[in-house]
Amino acid sequence: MKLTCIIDEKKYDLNVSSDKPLSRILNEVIPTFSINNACKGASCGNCMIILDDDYTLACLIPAFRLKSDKIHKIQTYETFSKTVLAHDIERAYAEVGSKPCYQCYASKTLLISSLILRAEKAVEVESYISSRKGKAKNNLLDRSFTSNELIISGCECMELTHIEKIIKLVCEYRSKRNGIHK
Amino acid sequence: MEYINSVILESPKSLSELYKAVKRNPDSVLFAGGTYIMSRPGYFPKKNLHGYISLSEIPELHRVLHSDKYLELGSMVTIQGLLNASASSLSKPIYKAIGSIAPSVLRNLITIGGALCSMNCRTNLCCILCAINASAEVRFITRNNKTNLNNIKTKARWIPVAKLYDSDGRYLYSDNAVLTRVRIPSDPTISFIYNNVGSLTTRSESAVTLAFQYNMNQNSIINPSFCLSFLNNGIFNLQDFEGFLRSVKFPLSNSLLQKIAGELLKLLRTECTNITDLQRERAIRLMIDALETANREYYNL
Repeated sequence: MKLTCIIDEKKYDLNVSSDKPLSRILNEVIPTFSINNACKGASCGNCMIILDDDYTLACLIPAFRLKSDKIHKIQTYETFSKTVLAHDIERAYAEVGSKPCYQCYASKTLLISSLILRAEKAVEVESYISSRKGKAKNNLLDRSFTSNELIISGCECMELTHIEKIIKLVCEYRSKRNGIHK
Repeated sequence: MEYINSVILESPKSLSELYKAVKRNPDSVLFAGGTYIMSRPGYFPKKNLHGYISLSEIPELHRVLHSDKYLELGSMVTIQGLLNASASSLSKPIYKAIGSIAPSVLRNLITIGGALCSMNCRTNLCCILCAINASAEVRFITRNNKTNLNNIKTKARWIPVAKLYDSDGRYLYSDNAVLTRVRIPSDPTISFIYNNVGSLTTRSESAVTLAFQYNMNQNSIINPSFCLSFLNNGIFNLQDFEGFLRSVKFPLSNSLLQKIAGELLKLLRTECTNITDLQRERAIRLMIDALETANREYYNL
């Protein structure tokens, strides 16, 4: 089947088997994908991508899912690593003194970025509710939620407390900068 | 080249087109969210000779209907879609339990229909839906008129989710039938306890999940409904035990808790032959834990 999509801001016209997983397509189209992601297949959690602003695992998306009138935008770690959010996360890794292992660096950084965006949303909602109630709250994500989200990454190279600290730090950097950068 | 040899893929745009596609090719695999199919080792480049029928383009299967008494969802609604739709109609513990089924990355992909129908992979959604007495609409495609694809008849039946499986937890309606809708009773006031031990992804052979719904009335439980899920080893909605729970009077003493545990053990030994000793022990502990929570609730009343 013919497939047109934008991968890392470049438009591609591809001719692929309709049941081919997106992770395989990315492996062939982007040379650094396999190096960055170290995907072992079968939902190891290492092929995290951003598909139309949603975080997802590329191995779970067959090519035919991308066939529609709309051209899908796929962002891999390659372009994400150039964003301000990625730099903030790297700064927080250095400050906390803990970072993901080589194997899961790309996917875990993307996963942490998704949790940061979620935490910011949660704080926004919480502060809106508390401003109406006259109370001030600044709760980030609760521990059970964070640990449930991290199940997707099979690698246990980082402690949960460290990840929580990183999320908190990045949220602080971003709120100090007084704006959301993607 | 493997790229050009695509598998047979049908993408029906309506339910009638879906029935025709199923009738035409009864051995084809229905592709819902794809999390189970895609995560099997060797899924690609091994070819599925019978092909796939993608359900994602059927608008009827994506519908969400709110009513005073229930919430009705098409089988292609994702677990995240269920959470978005049910924020006000389900009680908080049920909402939280559904949210803990899988990380959001997977919740966006796993569909309700896929979670209920996949043959060898059960998520905890089945267990929760069993306990809250949800039912599913299964449309049976009748076998007559094999050659005339323009005249396909279907018969719809609403089946409680607990009755979709046999005693070993196998889905019963995989042949010539399509699960189209799920109806979830909405009662935000009902008490609900959900607990699980073991991991669905890493240690599914020893995982146990308990979902327990009840209403406390003075010193007894009314309408108890509980479900024990042993993931791939079976799903159990023990009605005899629910009857026994109705006769229990609160507050529960330690000896009464032991008696209940003994009763459950007896039932698990006779009815759940597929499970391991560890799963049996975990199930009893989870049940005692749930009853202790109910006991605390009684004291708080």
